Amino acid sequence: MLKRLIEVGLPRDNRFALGLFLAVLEGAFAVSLLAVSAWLISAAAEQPPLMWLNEAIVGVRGFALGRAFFRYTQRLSLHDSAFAMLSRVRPRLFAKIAPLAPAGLPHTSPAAFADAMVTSVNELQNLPLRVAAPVIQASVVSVLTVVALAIISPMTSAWIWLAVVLLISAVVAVPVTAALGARSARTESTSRATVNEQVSRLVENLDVVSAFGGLEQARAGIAKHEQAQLRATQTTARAAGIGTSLLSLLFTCAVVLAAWAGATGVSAGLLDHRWLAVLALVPLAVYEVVSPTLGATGAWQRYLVEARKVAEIEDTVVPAEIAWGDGHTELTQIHSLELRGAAFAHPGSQNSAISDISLTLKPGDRLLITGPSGSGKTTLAYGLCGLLAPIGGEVLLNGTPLRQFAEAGVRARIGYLEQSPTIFDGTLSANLLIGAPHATDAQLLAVLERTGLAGTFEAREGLDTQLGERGVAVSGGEAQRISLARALLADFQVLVFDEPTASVDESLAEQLWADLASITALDPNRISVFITHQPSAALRASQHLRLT
Amino acid sequence: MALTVAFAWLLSHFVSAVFAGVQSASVIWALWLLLAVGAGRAALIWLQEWLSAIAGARAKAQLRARLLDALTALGPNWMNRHNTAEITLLATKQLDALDAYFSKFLPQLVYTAMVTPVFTAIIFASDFWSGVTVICTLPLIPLFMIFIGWATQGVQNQQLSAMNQLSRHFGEVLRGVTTLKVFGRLPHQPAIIAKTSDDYRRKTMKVLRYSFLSGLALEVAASLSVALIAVSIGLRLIDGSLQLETGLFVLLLAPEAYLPLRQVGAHFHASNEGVTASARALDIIDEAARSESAPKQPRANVATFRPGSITRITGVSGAGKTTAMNALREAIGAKNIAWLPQNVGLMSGSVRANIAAFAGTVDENLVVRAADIAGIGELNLAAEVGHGGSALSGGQAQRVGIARAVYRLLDTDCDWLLLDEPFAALDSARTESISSGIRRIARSGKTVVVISHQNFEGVLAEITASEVLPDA
Repeated sequence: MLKRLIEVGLPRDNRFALGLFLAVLEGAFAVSLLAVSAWLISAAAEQPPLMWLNEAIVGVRGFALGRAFFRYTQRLSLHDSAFAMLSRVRPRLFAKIAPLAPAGLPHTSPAAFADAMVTSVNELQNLPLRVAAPVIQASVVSVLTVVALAIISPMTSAWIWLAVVLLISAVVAVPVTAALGARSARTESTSRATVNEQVSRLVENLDVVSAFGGLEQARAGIAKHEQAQLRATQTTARAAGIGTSLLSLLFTCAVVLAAWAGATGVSAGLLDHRWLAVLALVPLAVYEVVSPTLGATGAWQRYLVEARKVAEIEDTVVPAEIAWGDGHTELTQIHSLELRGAAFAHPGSQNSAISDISLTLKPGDRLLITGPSGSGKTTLAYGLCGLLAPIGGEVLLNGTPLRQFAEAGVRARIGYLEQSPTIFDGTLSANLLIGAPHATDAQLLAVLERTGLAGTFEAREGLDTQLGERGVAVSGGEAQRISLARALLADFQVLVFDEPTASVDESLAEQLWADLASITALDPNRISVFITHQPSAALRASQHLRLT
Repeated sequence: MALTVAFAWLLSHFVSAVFAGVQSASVIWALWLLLAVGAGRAALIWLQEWLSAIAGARAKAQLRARLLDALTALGPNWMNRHNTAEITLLATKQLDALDAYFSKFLPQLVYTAMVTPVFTAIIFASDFWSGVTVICTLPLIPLFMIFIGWATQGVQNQQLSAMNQLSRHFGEVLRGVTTLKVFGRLPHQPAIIAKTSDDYRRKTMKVLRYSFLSGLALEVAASLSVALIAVSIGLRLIDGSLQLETGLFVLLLAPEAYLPLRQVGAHFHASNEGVTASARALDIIDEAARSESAPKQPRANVATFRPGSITRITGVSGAGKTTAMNALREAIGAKNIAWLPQNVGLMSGSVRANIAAFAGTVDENLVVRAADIAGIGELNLAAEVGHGGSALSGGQAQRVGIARAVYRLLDTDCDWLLLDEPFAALDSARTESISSGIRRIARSGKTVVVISHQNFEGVLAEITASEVLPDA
């Protein structure tokens, strides 16, 4: 499981490797800078000729500039690789969720998914940037420093203390801090996520919640989790504080011990006294590189909380009723659409399930489906359009099981018009172009004319009219007509209308029915299916199916 | 800070003493003191970490609470005009970014203002020329920060709007995923999402590049200054005009003088997102304060609607019937209304929990009565409705919404029943049975207002939406 969670957010590109390499260089330069500075000053105190010190002087300048430069470049490449990873995760998640529509979408809101795709994915950057990079940088630089000291220094005691302190830090201090802070960091992350979730839900439903007097309750819930988050933040900060002070204490010991060992060495004549300052100061430089690893605990917990959500979406299994499979037969023209004892149900739910439906539709046929609400009208519509595979019986297209055709071909021939059509936030023309991306303005205007929308939008800004968020700027009837216009542009051969008059004024409903009937009848090849609870004589249906 | 200075002094004293050939045993006291100072410093670090974490969370919670107050005050018609996804993002993720501002940037600013002059003075006192170097180079850092800050502001706003666009885009695509599927546009979406996401990445990287570049500039300035000091110390050590002890001490202290200022710069960039977001939140709060002083009254007097009768709001599509009802709701006040919104807005939970939404205690008898009037006998009261009623059919969700309004009416005994399109998805038999329930409710003395595109028995008065709508 942990392996899977790490997999979710670890970039594996060259830029990431390069970033890590640069980070190590940065750390190595930081340590070298202090070491060479210390040596330079000690050596200078002996007042040698200046030229003896030239190399060290150049070294100080070079290491100072190099450290700054590598810091800049490592941050750039690590961040770039982390964000590129996020850009790869997002479409992958969408590709996982999208095939479930419409019948298999879990009963969570689109907003929650959108949130997962923006916020949760964003938090994935914690792993490469705030966990992997500092830990790897600190480990490699520590080992390099100890090895370098061991090579340069003639005495074991000069480097052994730094090695011991580093070992204690790695084995005790950092893990202890991590353990102390892990629980509260987890609580903090989950309560932060809960607060955000509850706030989103409240903002989304603010109107209904306040209308039903639920505001206080909702606000109290948010406040409670905010309190929990605050408490957890304090505990985490205390734990982090313990870690930092522990580490600082350990490194003070390293400085003291190295200085003592060095001093003894100098007295005994084992160590060149110019090296004493180097031994005493190097642990301080290593401390600067090691201390950022303490922040990794919190980042790791934050990462885990969100990575779990992302992994859950990535591991979504498309139910058999929805998965299309590998059907690839080409579909150009529909000669018959037939149900034979077909049964349909939403995946994992018996609500609105229907069974044993048999009917045959030929070009020119007009089917009326009526039934009380909850009788499975929409479920049947999904089945007719191939949005749901039958759980019993068969759906045949030109005599062949529907799913043996390629999905794109079926989508291009069979159109489903939703009860509440989606009007996207954008212009009228952008909404129409979903039906036919390459349609010209003249074609768009023509279809507006046919669907009775021309007058409505002429008075506004024509094709450039903004339809607003959730189509607030259009009425239910207009939305239906826009949806019809889209469908006509897409040139579907089969049109399935799901309750087209549900949110249309009574006075206008009859007109809409008449328009739908005449527009769909224009093409003799067309098969039309009307689902409604208030049928109209204008439909002139050739078949009538009553669900109970 | 005093401990940092002591630490530097003790270490340089010990090293230079040994260097000068003093027996190490005679200066061992310096090492013991060093250890003690180190322990003291560790304790202070702990205290500092703990204190700074507390302030941030408090301030953020307060701002969020005021933002929610403001959104409530601004009302449904305001919310309809603004993008919900963006506002949600503002109230959650973007305000979260304020943490860094309160817990990192502000404490660092205060610390820097106190500490930098002291460090500079100590260096000055120890070694005149190093002091001069520090004083000359230190002002470069804030200068750099200001320049880069200016340059960053623009791209920062761009990045914020790119993030809003990203979240808005996802919201739209997921809301319309069925439509996109039906029209065969689904296969194109991942590429479009990758593009939007990449656009966000590019804008973010632009901001980060500025921020890292400013880090680079600050660090180069600081490093070069320290290198300048180190080399000058070295040179003066050579000609013997400076003691090794002083040289080491200044060398250890010099980076500490630059560090606080550099960190101010680093935290400034980290907290900028939160600051930009809080500015937007404050705008909304101000807007709410302004609008509260001048509420928009509906044109029709509330008294036009008579208790004991049913009034139907009429008007062609797009005439603003729902807007009119919202204005009416604001004029009456939520406490006295039982309401069915056009988008029913059911919450995840059981049918029963939705009918008795937010009622303190659930009165089972009332739930059954409300369910009966709304005609949802076929539904199991314990069944889950899913988010937004997604597990129910359109008609079922609507009837649960009616039951919810009726429950509130009976439970709180409020005077108004406002129904926005109660029959939209219902067949004529259901419409008849529910409207007879509504007639009974009206007869019991309640004021019933209904938006409906079909007339039904019992409607006593009709009023057009434009007669109710407030003046623009």
